Amino acid sequence: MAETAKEIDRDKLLDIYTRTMKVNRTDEKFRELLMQGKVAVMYYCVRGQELVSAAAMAALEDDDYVVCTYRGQGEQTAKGIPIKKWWGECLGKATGTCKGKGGTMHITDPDTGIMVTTGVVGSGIPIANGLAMASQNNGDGRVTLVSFGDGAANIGGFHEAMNMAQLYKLPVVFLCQNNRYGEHTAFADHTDSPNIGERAAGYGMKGITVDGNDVNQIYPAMEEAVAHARRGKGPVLVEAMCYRMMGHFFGSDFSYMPEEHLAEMKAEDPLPKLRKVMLERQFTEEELDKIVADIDAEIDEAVQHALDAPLPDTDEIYKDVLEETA
Amino acid sequence: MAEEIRIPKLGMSATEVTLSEWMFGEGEQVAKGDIIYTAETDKTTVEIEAQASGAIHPTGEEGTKYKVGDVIGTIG
Ligand SMILES: Cc1ncc(C[n+]2csc(CCOP(=O)(O)OP(=O)(O)O)c2C)c(N)n1
Ligand SMILES: [Mg+2]
Repeated sequence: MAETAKEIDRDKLLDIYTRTMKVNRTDEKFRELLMQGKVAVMYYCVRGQELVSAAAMAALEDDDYVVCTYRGQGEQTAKGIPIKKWWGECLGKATGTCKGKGGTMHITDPDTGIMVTTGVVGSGIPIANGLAMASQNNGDGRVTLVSFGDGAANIGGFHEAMNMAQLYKLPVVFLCQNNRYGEHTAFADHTDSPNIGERAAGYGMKGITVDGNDVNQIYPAMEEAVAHARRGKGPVLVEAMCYRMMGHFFGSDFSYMPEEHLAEMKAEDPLPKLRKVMLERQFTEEELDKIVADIDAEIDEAVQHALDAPLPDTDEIYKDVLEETA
Repeated sequence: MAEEIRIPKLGMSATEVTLSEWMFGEGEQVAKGDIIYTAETDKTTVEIEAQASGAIHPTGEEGTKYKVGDVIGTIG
């Protein structure tokens, strides 16, 4: 599929770059705040996976649906969640997307199509089928994209959801971000499958494995997968090969990662590679730096807003739990 | 303005963290990104990087347990 891919047009490339840097700068800022001890929450770093999220979100329409995991910062910010509300939620403040009651692992913002974020590994996959089935029934033309890890691909719900989605030709894209580790367990220690993409064949589904560190591979693959689902041809399983360049979560060490793996990971870092592509396509250093500076200014403002914001009222505990009946 | 160095949260259940070792002494210059101290929980040992550049003033004691958020020094 990727071999015949045409060149990504310049506007789209710039869009992908901007989304990628938004994800990266958010990640850097979050780690800075955590290291300083200014913020004390759980955060799952996305360093190394920025491009996969950005390319996937750039392939969707604004009103398409997304389901993500605890490691969902990339999808959330790249999809365009309002960042003041995002930081508010991460810091547990009343200004957050869930009024500060969800936190980093439960970011939900239906207005931007971030339908649900869960910490239960694999649980988003069948949920995505439900959203896609609703779209199919309503004929609203939306595609649902669900992101999950390589470890999640061994959960029972993954197999059930794949089978069902293909059977009913649901408009869903299954994006497996294969960052080579499920917590502290390396890919080869959790499955004998050579890859995840090929598993699609077992369900009669279209599946591919693609380099998630190369914009010219990952974006065309995402674009085609989304188009396939939107045309009513059924689901696609996209396995994006990438690296988790930090520990499982902020504060967990990664001494279990072998030296060769760390070296390989560094050589494949998607950010310098993307920058190189941008320069080859005649974007200037100044242009690219300006984008990052603007993103940083926006993030700094949002962080300050969240730090200054109030915590939710204690009576909020009973709100939004059970449906109010008259 | 001096930047406070506070004990970070190092995991889901971590509320206490041991300050293991300072890499710099009183008044030494550190640059953003330098490893300034190591911290330990019951599960993990982590190297903590400076988030500002300037002269470091460690106040926390090596080998002592601190609560997440406690100030253990300043930079600048
Ligand atoms: C059902 C379930 N089992 C176990 C866990 C503990 N857990 C949290 S993250 C994780 C690793 C998942 O790895 P992967 O799917 O590859 O995603 P990644 O963290 O690499 O993005 C595990 C086992 C969980 N949250 N839910
Ligand atoms: Mg993984």
